[in-house]
Parts: sequence; C-alpha cells; structure tokens
Amino acid sequence: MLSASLLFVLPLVFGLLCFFLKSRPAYYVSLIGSVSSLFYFIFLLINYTATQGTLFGWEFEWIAKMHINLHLALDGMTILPLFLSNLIGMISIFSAFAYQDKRNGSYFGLLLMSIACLNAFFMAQNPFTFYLFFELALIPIYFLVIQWGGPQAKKSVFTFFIYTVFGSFLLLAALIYFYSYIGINVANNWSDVYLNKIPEHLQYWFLIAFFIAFGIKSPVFPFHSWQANLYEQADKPTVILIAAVMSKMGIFGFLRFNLIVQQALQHWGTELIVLCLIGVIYGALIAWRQNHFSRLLAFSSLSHMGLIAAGTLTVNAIAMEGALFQCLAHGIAVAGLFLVADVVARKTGNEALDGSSGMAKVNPRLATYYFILVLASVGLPLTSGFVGELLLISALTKYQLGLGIIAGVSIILGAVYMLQCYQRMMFGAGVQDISKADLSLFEDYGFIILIILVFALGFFPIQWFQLAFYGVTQFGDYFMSH
Amino acid sequence: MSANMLVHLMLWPPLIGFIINGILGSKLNKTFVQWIGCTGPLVSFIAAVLAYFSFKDQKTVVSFYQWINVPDLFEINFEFFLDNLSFVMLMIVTGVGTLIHAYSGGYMHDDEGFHRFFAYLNLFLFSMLLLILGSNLLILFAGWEGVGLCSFLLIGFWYKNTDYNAAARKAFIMNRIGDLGFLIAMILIAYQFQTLDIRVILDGAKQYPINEPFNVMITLFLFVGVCGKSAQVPLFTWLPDAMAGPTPVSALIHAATMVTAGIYLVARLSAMYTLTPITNQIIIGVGLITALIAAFTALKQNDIKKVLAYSTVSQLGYMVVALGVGAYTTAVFHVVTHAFFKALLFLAAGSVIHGLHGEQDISKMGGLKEKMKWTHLVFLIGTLAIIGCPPFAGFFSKDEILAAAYGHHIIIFILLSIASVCTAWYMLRLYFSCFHGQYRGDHHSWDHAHESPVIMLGPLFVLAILATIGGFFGLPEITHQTHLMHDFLSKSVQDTSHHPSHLFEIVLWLVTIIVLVSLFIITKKRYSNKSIEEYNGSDTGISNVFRNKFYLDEIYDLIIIKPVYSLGNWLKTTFEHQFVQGIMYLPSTVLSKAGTNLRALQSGNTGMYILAMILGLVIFCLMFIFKLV
Repeated sequence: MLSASLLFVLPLVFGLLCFFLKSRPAYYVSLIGSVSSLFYFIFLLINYTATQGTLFGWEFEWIAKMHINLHLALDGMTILPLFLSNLIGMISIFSAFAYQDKRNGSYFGLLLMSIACLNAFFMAQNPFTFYLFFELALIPIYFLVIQWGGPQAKKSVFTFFIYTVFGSFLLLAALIYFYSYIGINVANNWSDVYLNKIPEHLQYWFLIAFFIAFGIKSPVFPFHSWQANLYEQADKPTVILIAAVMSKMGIFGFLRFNLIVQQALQHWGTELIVLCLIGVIYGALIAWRQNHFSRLLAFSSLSHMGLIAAGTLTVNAIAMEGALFQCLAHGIAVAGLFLVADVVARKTGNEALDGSSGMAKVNPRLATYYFILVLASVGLPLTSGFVGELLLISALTKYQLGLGIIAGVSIILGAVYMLQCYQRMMFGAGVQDISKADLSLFEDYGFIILIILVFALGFFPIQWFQLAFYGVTQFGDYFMSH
Repeated sequence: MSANMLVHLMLWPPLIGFIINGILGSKLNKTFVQWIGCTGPLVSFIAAVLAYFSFKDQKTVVSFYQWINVPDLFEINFEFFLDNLSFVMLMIVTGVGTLIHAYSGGYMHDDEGFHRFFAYLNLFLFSMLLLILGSNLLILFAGWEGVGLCSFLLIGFWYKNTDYNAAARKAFIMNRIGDLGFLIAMILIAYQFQTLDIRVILDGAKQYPINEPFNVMITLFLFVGVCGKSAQVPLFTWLPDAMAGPTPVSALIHAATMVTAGIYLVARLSAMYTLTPITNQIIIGVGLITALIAAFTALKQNDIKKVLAYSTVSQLGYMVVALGVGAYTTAVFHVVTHAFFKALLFLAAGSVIHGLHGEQDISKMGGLKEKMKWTHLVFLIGTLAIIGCPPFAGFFSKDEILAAAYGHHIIIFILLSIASVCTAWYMLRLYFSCFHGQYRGDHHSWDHAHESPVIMLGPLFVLAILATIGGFFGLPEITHQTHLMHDFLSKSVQDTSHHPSHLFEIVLWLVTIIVLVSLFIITKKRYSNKSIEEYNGSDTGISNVFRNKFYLDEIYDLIIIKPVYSLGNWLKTTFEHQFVQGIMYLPSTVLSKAGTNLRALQSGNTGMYILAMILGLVIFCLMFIFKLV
C-alpha cells in the first residue's frame, strides 16, 4: 500500500540520521535522502490515477474532541508543488556540495527536515494540518539562516520570524474561529471544508487574516520588507529553498483558502489585486536599481509572486492553472538564478553586479546557463516562464482590462532589469581576478536539470497542465455551487 | 514529399545548426562551423522551393502536437500553415537568409566569436520560420519574441562594448513594449473568438459589423506590436542603434526579414483590418509620420549604416501606409523588393566597411570605385533600385504604393512623394560620397583598402540580379501583363485599395524619371567633391534637427526614462527604507528591545527566546481549542 506520508518520513529520517554524522558522510546521506524522496514522488506520480479526490492518504487522529485529524494525501492541486519541493530540495543539496567540508551534519539534517516539512505542508488535507506544517517548515529554516547566514543574519531572520509568526497567528485565530463556527461538522478534507458556507460579514474578517498571513509568506506588497535582507544574508542552499519553495506556500494558501472567502473576494478582490500589482511594478522598479544580485532577485521575486497572487485572487479556473504552473516555473528559474549567485559569489567574492563583469569570456558555460535562466525569468515563449504568465495575465484581463495591462507591464520591466543585470554581470570589458575554475560536477548537474525543465515546461506545457488540471477541476464543482 | 515532411525539413535544420554550433562550435574549426551554419538555411530553402511546387495555391495545415490546452480559451496546437503568403515570405527568409549566411563566412572570418555568430543566425532563422509558418497567433508570437531575442544577441554580439550592450537592450525592450500590445491583443482575441487559430479568427471577424469597438481595440493593440517590431513611430528609435551589430545582421534582421514581420502580421490578418477603418486611419498616419521623419533624418547622417537604417525605417513607413490604404499585396510586394535591394545595399556597405577595415564614416570615404569595382557596381544597382529608377525592382513596388495612396487620398500621395524625393536625395548623396570624387581619409587606409573576397561578392551578385529584375514579378496594369505577385497573393490576401487611372500612371512615370535625372545631376555635382569639413560642419535650424534625429532619443530620455529611473531610485532609497521598512520594523524593533531587556534577566539569545515564546503560544492556542469544545 503506497502512502503519501513517506514523502514526509523519508527526508525526515535521513535528516535525523545526518545529525549524527560528520560533515562529508552527512552530505552524501542528505543527497541520498533528497534524491530518494524525489524518486519516491515520481513513483507515486506514475501510480497516480485519480482525476477527482485524493490518493495515498494517511490519516491519524490528532485532536479527538474536535474530530481533527492529521491528514496527508496527494490530490490534483498538490502535484506540481510537491514536484517543486522535492526537485528544489535536491538542487539545494546539490548546491551544498561546495560547502560539504565547511558545514557539519546538522546543517544537512536541517535542510532535509525543511524539505520534509514542505512536502507535508503541500500534502496537508485539512486546515489544521496545513497550519501545523505552515509553522513547522519555519523552524529548520530559522536555524539554518541564523547559524550559517551572513553577518547580519540574526537581524534578518528575526524580522522574518516576527513577520511570519504575526501572520500565522492571524491564520490560527481565523481557523479557530472557523472551526468553532462550523461546530460539530467534521472537516478533515478540503471538500468538507468548502461545503460549509460562512456568512458574508464574517468572510471579510477571514479574508483579512488570510491575506495578511499568506501575503507575508509570498510575500506580497507591502509585507515584503523581510525578504531582501533575508535573501541577502541566508546562505545559498537555504535561500534556494526559501525563494523557490517557501515563497510558494503563501500562493498555495491563497489557492486553498480563497473558496472559503469567495463572496468577500467579489467585493474586495479589485482592491487586493491592485495591492498585489503595485508590488509587481514596485518590485520591478527597485530590482532595476539594485546593485546586489541576491537583493535584485528578492525584488524580482516580489514582482513575480505579486502577479501570481493577483491571479489567484481573481478566483478563476484559468488563473488557478496559471498560478500552479507559474509557481513551478518561477521556482525553477529562481533556484537556477540563485545557483548562479552562489557560483559567482564564490568565484569573485562578492555579489555586486559589476564585480563579475566580463565573466562570459572566462566562464562561457555558466554564462549560457545563466542566460537561459534569464530568458525563463522574463517569460520568453517556449521557455517555462511564458505559459503561466500568459494565463495569469489572461485571467486578469478578463477581470478588468486595465489590470491585465498593468500586469503585462511586468514583462517589459522584467526584461529591463534582468537584461541589464545579466549584461553587467557577464558582459563588459571584465575584471582581472575571476577564478577560471570550471563548474563542479554537481553544479553542472543542477544547472542541466533545471535547464532541461525550462524547455520541457516551455515546449510541452500541456503534460504539466494535465497534472494541475486535476486539481482545478476538483474545484470546478465549488465554483458552480457559489 | 508530404507537407508534414517538408515542414520538418524547413524548420529543424537551422535549429540543429544552432545546437551543434552553440554547444560544440568553440571546439570545431571555422570551415566546419561555416558549413554547418550554411547548410541549415540551404536545406530550409530547398524544402521551401519543393513545398512551393507541391502546394502552391493551396492552404495546407501541418499539425505536430498539442501545445497548450485550456478549454475554450487557449487550445493551441503546435501547428503550421502553408499558403501563398507564407511561400512569398519563406522565399525571402530562407533565400536571402542563405545568401547572407554565406556572406557572413567571409565577413566574420577573423572574429573569435565565429561559431557564436552562426549559432545565433541559425536560431534567428528558426524563429523567423516559426513566425511565418505558425498557423495560430501563439506560435507566431513565439517566433515573434524569438526573433527579438536573436536581434538582442546579435546587436550585442561584441559584448565587451557597453554601448553595444545598451543598444541591444534598447532594441529588446522597445520590442517588448510592442509585444505587450500583441499579447493583450491575443488575449482579447481569445476571449472574443475562443481561439487563436488565424483562419478561424478571420472567419469569425466577418460576422461583426464594420468598426465593432472590440475589434477596433484588438487591431489597435496588434498594431502596437507592429510598431515595435517594424520600427514605426513612436517605437522606431531602436533600429538605428541596432546598427551596432555586425553588418550581415543589419542586412538580414534589420532590413530584409525581421522588421518586415509587422507588415506580414497585418497582411496575414488583413481580413480583420478591412473591417476596422478607424484603425486603418491611424495606421496611415503612423506610417506617413515614420516615412517622413526617417527620410528627413537620413538626409543628414554621415554613418553609412545609419543612413541605410533610417532608409529602412522610412521604407517600412511606406509599407505601413500601403497596409493602411488596403493595398496588402502591394505592401508584401514592396517587402520582397525591399528585401532584395536593402540586403544588397547593406551587404555592399559591409563590403566597403570590410575593405576599409572598419571605417563607417562617409566623410572619410570617396573615390572608392577605383579600389572596389564590383562593390561599386552592386551598390549602384542597389541605389537605383531603392530610389525607384525604372526598370529596377524598387520602381515597380514604390510606384504601386504611390498609386494606391493616390487612390485613397491625394494628401497621402503628396507626403509620400516628398519622402520619396528625400530617399533619392540621401541615397545618391551616399553613393557619390562613397564612390566618387577624392578619397578623404588618410593615405594609410587608402593603400590598404581592398575589394572583398569571392565568398562575399557572390551573394552580392545574386542580390544585384534580384534587385534588377525583381520588379518584373509585379508589372503594372498598364503593360497588359499579369501582375504575378498580385495574382499569386490574391489566393491568401484580398486587397481593398483603389487603382487610379492609366493617365495618372503615365504622368507619374514621366515625373519620376524627370525628377530622378535632375536629382542625379544635382547630387553628383554637390557630393562628388565635398571636403571632410563640409560633412562635419555645424548645421543651423532645421538641418540640425534632422542631424540630431529630431531629438527623439533626448525627448524619450527626458519624459520617460529619467522619471522612471528617478522613481526607481526614490523607491529604493527613500520609500523602501524609511517608509515601508520603518513601519514594518516597528513590531520587530519593539520586540527586540523587549528581548534585549529580558536577556538581562535570563540567559540565552534573543532568537531562542522568541522561538520558545512562539512555541509556547502555539501550545497555548492548541489548549484553547480543547477548552472550546
């Protein structure tokens, strides 16, 4: 009997094992852990047949008095995010190859534990399980950043923590209220949850709580100020996890909870979408003026995530497909770009954009990988970034033409800052002291896997959509009923 | 051979060439790189010729696989479409493309990025083929953005030069502004027609009344895309800067093929544009302004490639006017002849630049006909073709545009004629300045000036022949011969323009000949023996405006780039730091103060304390749940 819970247990067990090992063996154990988790996921996917409902479920009685269970399972919505978390988990561990002698076993253990928590988060089948892992995923990241981050890491992670915890409390409060409101009804599946109709005046309160909680996590303007500092300070394998996967937790939250507050969204949707879109433009403009690569990527993420969040808030099937797809596409691109940041920072000792000028001459392979990732990030057709953006902008255009055009401006601004950044880092006359050393084996593998996916998503999006589509059709009935 | 097979043979060879040269090129020797690079386009060309003989006058659809499937909105197949319009474009793109690939083998031979150059050119060809073969707008758009990307890569080919990089970026971004228009138009089309398949859209459009607002909006947004790609006002300033790229690139991308993609798009969707006369008025206006501004600017440029670049912009303006008055086949005819003579002129200019070791300033040229006999000959043919001298190619197509303009409104005709006179003036100025009179550069460069190798001259001769006879594909009505181009294209595109009387044609011809002869005499006198100072001398009044390109770059800088730039800076330094961070840090500052105070009481660091606090609160909340029940 296949069980989804293994996706949580596998990395967790390997992670715990790492704590007792020295650095180098721990690295290889963590590598095996992440790879086996990814393969197990692919194995589950091959056996995944459902177009409705959940599969491979694992349920466990948690709070008996309220009939709340811990419930992990695969459904249509979870597939792309789970693929993302397992894939990026592996890429993150690949990128840690360069640090294998400088970090001890607990570092690799914590990386695996955060992968485990992220997996469990995406598989959560009821709000309380969702909440539990929403919180738990934070803890390994917290330790990773505080121990192995840059000189300002403490302050930045502290801000991050305060922010997310503040959001989480609102979420928790909302959930408690929700459960006390629905009373004795059992709500251990999302479908049960959506069946409960909440009166409209309460929905507004829920919407505020959800928007702040998930807006902080994504992040969405104006809850983003933890982001740039954290991305700058955290070490790269960790920030790959944060930027590529953790930021998607907020979006996933929107996708899961929007149906509860659908009527409130009909009234406040435009305002909230405008807020997200302000972030899209705002992030892009600041990214344009950044001089530090990781900070630039942070603001670029703000811009991209703002677009996805805006799309989800339209509560439209097209936008939901687009959001799921774009989460995967953005995760792949941003993970690759942070890999570049990692390599460049190690070769030149800094992340100033002009600090690596002329690198294309010295490291043509890196420059090529980087360029393809830039293309994916600016959403060129036939790369991963295009289709998701197309669907999101379509949904926004349908919602309101003006909003669609504003969202579309992001494709212009994206080109402005990404190309300038690329040209400053790779082109130009060049500086002298760049290490000519080639990429290490694992870096190469990491890049090659990501780039294959960039094109696989670009040329054959339909296969991936089929996977996301199950999730969206699942919601089809609820759209009708409202 | 089946259509399926032929489309495969057209599309993939350039892509394969790109992959081989892109990945292995640095390890292969140059001859091999060149063979790989040229074979792809040649195979495409042969496949296109074969396809022409098997499938002309038909509409053939070739479907590969389903690309995107979002029910009722984006059901997109990876699908290609062959009809007479695509054949005309295919011949230009693969035919002229192959010639320019061959030429590049000589022109770029000493460049260290030789393999990179061929890889990019091949990728360009692949994208261009996607653009002209795509049977739905999304595939077309993929090619549309792809050619923009290749243009970016090739303009900034010499990437160590930051100015070239800036030019490349400018081209890509201005194109992207247009692309946004295209994207929005596509989305609107998808909602209006539930499909992006071009043929279905055109059938669907016929059901709507003239000037239906939604359709007007769609055609206008699409035209924004055309302005970006085909360098129309206000988005044309990237094209002159794009001359930073190697000359074969200017010939292939920025003269013969990519920039005509916008013309192709409107011609492709002509059935829709005929239903939106409001849009057509705007198109005529934009085309006229572009043709005039660019022609005036070209009068005062001293860089041989810049003159040709502005001339391209001006000719594109002509084509756009032709589209606006409904003379779609005429516009495509001009695309064809323009591809011949402009590619010829650019490659000949490249031959001059190559022979003078990189000199582009015409004030330092002169008398080159002694040193470069063949280049001189082909350049002269190109010049005669572009100024519309009978019987060269440009004469027939330009004459047709003028006639169609006259049929629409006399003002359009007059303004286009002014642009036409300017064209003759600056092209003859360019020709005489380069090839006649005394050499104005230093002796050293004169002694080293040389004719180009055969591999470069070969393509020039072929293009020269095409520029000479290309016009006979479209003989005017008055000759009582069939207009081959018009006949051929009418199976895919319907004209709506009016033809003026035969008398008008005859008068127009006579006036053309008289004007050209007198211009020839005047410019020969004026520019054969001008001194270097006279070229660089300061201008006053209106000529200064021309020389400085109407100050458009400065104006854009002032009203768009600078404000956005300052806004970005202000947001980054002031707003983000003081406002957003100030407010958002408030809780953390307060808590961290509290944390520090508590730390005096308890041991352990702040982080751990906060963590404990949070875990405590979580547990507390969970207990709260239990009590609730």
